[in-house]
This record gives sequence, structure tokens and C-alpha cells, in this order.
Amino acid sequence: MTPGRGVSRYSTTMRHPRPADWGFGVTVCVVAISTDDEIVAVSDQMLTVGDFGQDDMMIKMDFVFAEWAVMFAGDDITPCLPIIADARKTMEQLVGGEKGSLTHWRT
Amino acid sequence: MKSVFKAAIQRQLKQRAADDVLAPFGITMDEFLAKGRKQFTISMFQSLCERIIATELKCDFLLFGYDNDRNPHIVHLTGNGADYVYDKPGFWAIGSGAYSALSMLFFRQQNVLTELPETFYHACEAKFMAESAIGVGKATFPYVLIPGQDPLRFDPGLIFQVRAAWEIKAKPKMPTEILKVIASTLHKNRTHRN
Repeated sequence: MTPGRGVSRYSTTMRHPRPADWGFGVTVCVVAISTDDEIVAVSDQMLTVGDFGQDDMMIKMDFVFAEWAVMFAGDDITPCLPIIADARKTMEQLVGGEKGSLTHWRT
Repeated sequence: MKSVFKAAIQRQLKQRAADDVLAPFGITMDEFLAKGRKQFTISMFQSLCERIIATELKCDFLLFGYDNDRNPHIVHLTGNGADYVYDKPGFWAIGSGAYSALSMLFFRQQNVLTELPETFYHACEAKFMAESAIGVGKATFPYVLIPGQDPLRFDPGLIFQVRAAWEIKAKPKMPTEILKVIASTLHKNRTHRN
């Protein structure tokens, strides 16, 4: 198929594809607190190591620092990992890496 | 923690705005704020400001955990850096399936006085309900955070059982008998009109 007259083959009007176009990011994350202060978190993606999971490519939940975790969702989740890394680094600087480093929490 | 995370989002947002709007001019956000008014014409400066303000990260975060006094917290942070604390009602959801999940949690009247097994079930049920939304997968991964302890993880067997119980006993079903009543009433009313 050839582009019409006056339409560039490399038209800049084409929308930039987002991770959501491949089904990544637009999901669900549910969190609820129970009576003894336990927190139940449920997602449709597995908690993963580093940048890539075993079964699924996208991380949905990560432990930020000490007893804090985060889940994320959206049309464009590319900034999520840098934000989590930034927050973790800041907390480590504020509190000290040893105290807050619960790497064993991250499966 | 909330303020640290919020600051991290705002830094990323600032960087994204600079990359998207100011990169062609080869200036940073700080340079733009300091000298932009003099460097650009008023209309150009205004236009750039509007584009910077319109920039947002199209993602949401659900931050949860315990403060120093071991009190649990849930915070929803949006892509533009706004934060909403949901310590009460004690639950929240994000993502494309959030509306379905939240409506189920509100329907079940989930709150901070709900026992753990019930809370676990409600959270799973909310996730199952959310599967009708675009992009939400059937896979379900639950975690339980207990103050001062490692988080609990569960093998798929438990979720399989919870789903089976939900599908048999709790999944909303349409009563087919009532459809016939509605259809016949509609038919009567229609014929009445004619």
C-alpha cells in the first residue's frame, strides 16, 4: 500500500506505540488492610527480580524500602522502575542502606 | 516514605517534561525556569509552559507498608505527583480493572476491622471481578505483609481453591427466569401501545 499524495511515508502523525498496546501495564493491583494490620496485596503479575520476571516480562510489585512495597499500573509504565529506584536510593541515603535493605523480600 | 516517593515521581515528571518539550532547544528545565522568559517571545514562552504543565506520566502507583509505629498505610500516587491516602477505608485498587475491583470491595464492605481470611478473599474476589477489564490477566498473585515479618507468599493451589469457590458460590450470575418475565412485560407494554 502506497501513501497518498502529500502524505509522507514516514508520517510523524502516527502515534508512538506504548507498552499498553502490547497488553503491558494496563492491569489491576488491589491492596487491603485487615483487622490485625496485615496488608493483603493481589495483582495479576508476579513479583519479580530486577528488571525481568520468570514468566511475565513486566514487574507489577516491588519492595521499595524496609516494610514498604509498591505496585504500579498504567498506559506507560516505562518511568516506574526509575522512580522506584530513585525513591529507594533516597531512602537509603536518609536512613542508611543496612537498616532498610530487605533484599530477601524480593523474590 | 510517601513524600520521598512523591518527590521521585516529580523528578521523573520534570525530566519527562524537559525531554519532551525542551530537548529541541537544548536547555534544561532549570535553565528554562531561570532564563526562559527572556530567551523566548511571550507567546512562545506561554506555549512551552502550557505543554510542560500538560505533561504527565501515564502510570499510577499503589504504595503500601508500615510506618515506624507499625501502622499500615495505603497511598495512591498518580502520574502527576498527586497523592491520595486510603488508610480509611483501608483498601484501594489501581489499573484498568480498578473500577470493578473497587465496586466489589465496597459491596463487601471491606474495612480495617475485617479479619485476615475475609480480607484475603475480598482482595482475590476483587481481582477476579476485575478480569472483565481490558488487559487484566487471569493469573493471580497474592502477598500478605505482616508488620515486622517477611511477606507471605502462596502457592497456586490456594488461589485455585479460592477461584473455584468463588465461581461456584459467589460469582454474580444473571437469573435467567427474570429475563422471560422482563421480555413478556416488554412485549405486553409494546402491544398495549399499538
